[in-house]
Amino acid sequence: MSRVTRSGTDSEARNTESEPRNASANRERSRTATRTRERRRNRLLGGLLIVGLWEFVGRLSATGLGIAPPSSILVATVDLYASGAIYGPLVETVVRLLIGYALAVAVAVPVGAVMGVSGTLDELLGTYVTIMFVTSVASLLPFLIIVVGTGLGFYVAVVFLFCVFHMILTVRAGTANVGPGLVEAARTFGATNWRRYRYVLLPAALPFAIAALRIGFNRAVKGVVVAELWIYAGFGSLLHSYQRYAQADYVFAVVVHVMVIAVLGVRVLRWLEERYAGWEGGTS
Amino acid sequence: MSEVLEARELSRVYDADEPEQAVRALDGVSFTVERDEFVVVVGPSGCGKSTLLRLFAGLIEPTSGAAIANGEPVTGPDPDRAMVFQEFNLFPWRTTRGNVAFGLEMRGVPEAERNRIAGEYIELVGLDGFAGRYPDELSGGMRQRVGLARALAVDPSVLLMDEPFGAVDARTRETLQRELLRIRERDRKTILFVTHDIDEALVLADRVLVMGADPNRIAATIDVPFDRPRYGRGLETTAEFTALERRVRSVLRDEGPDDETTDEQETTGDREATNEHDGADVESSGDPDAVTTVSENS
Repeated sequence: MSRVTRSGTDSEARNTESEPRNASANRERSRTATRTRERRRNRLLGGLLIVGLWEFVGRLSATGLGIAPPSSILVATVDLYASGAIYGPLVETVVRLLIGYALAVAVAVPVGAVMGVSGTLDELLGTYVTIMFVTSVASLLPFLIIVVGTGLGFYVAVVFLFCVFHMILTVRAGTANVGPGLVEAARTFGATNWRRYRYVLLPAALPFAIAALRIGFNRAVKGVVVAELWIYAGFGSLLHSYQRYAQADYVFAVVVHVMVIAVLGVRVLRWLEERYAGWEGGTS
Repeated sequence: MSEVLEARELSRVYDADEPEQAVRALDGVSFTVERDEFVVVVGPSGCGKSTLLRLFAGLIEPTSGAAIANGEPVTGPDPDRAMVFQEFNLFPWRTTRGNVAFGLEMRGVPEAERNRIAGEYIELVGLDGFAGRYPDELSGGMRQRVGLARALAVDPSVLLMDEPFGAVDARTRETLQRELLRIRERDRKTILFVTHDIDEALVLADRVLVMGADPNRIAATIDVPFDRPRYGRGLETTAEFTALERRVRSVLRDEGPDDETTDEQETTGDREATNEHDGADVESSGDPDAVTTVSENS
């Protein structure tokens, strides 16, 4: 195809439109890079400060207050692995967490997506999902024990209920906010019904879906800990037994594991987000 | 037969809960557009001009009458009538290249082929070097270039343009108008273009359809006789141009709501007031003979 020659004024106009933007974009990028480095440094500094202060106060009150200093938590953690006490509960907890979470995702993503698109389903379910969303799921624990007993089903049910409503509402918001203009644009290019889902609604809702999974995972971790504390199982049994003998260092060592699980999960999901939905707002 | 588009007694009513609140967005509109003709529909907000375009795009159905394209009533969207939107409606998760290639992808064109074609149109609209950028990283004017390239890439015979330059600043709008005319010199298309900007209508069109509000129908058809290419020679300052502009303006004024004697239409009131003043300045230099009004069917 032959390229059409443009008049000088035309390309000039275009250049003034594009070049300064380019330059400022580069400046912007290098500025944010410096900013990110600074942020990382400050975060590290903050962490060191807290740990240092904690260590100091912990050592002062080593006998009285029971605030275990970080060094003793480290020792307790090593002992948890050396004695093998952590392995069983760790596996149990993670398995319960993942089963409940996976079920919740499997339900929340399609239900939320359809609620966002279909007014009817939204009217049918919307109010009740919102009611459950604001209800304290922890208050349902006694009820759940009556219904499903204290087996695996109980933990799975608690984890599921802890995270499913948040995820439904977030995914719903995502699909409901896909501009009708985008769907129209796709239609004018001959996108038929299912292609509208595949090429417009799905990619447009993806960032929301991943955000939903992230929020959901956080809630799921809370759910599994609450359930296990209630039943004295997994991490819950460890926490209860160390608490009974006032072994604050061991209690903290278990809590650190909960933190690590939560952070790891969120990290993985954030990676997924950047990998598959990087176009949404600047990736950082 | 060289009529590409035809509106035949086209009406569209938007239903409301109360029957008396139903909106007659389009009230018995008839006109034809010839092959390769550039027709601009100009009118105030709420006159139904966007509805008209959406009917031809097949995005909505008429309440009565028919929108006819190439002899067939429009029953749904067809890539042969590509649309350019005021709000761009680019897919934010797709790069410039991905957006431009979208229509080809829907048609099942293999990836290498559609990337090649997309590349040509990206170059045509002057976005070389921006193929890998996302819409978020582009200025408003550049985004609409992408919107235009996306529409052109499927090689439609008809371009439907819904106030395409309404959302960009005045300077960029002028550049884009010039670009559109330049591209049209190369790729002959039948264009139905909607705007509320009278100058834009006169710079672009072979023929201007002036729409009035209440009833929402065509008040006048005005031929625009200027030679092409039109840009780069100060057309807007000529006496013929200002005379035509006054003509369109007076039709719009007569076509306001029935009780317009005291206050102008809310949406155009301010503009009308300032233009009244401009009109008076130009009066002496205007040449009435330059005005060629072909028909007036109100």
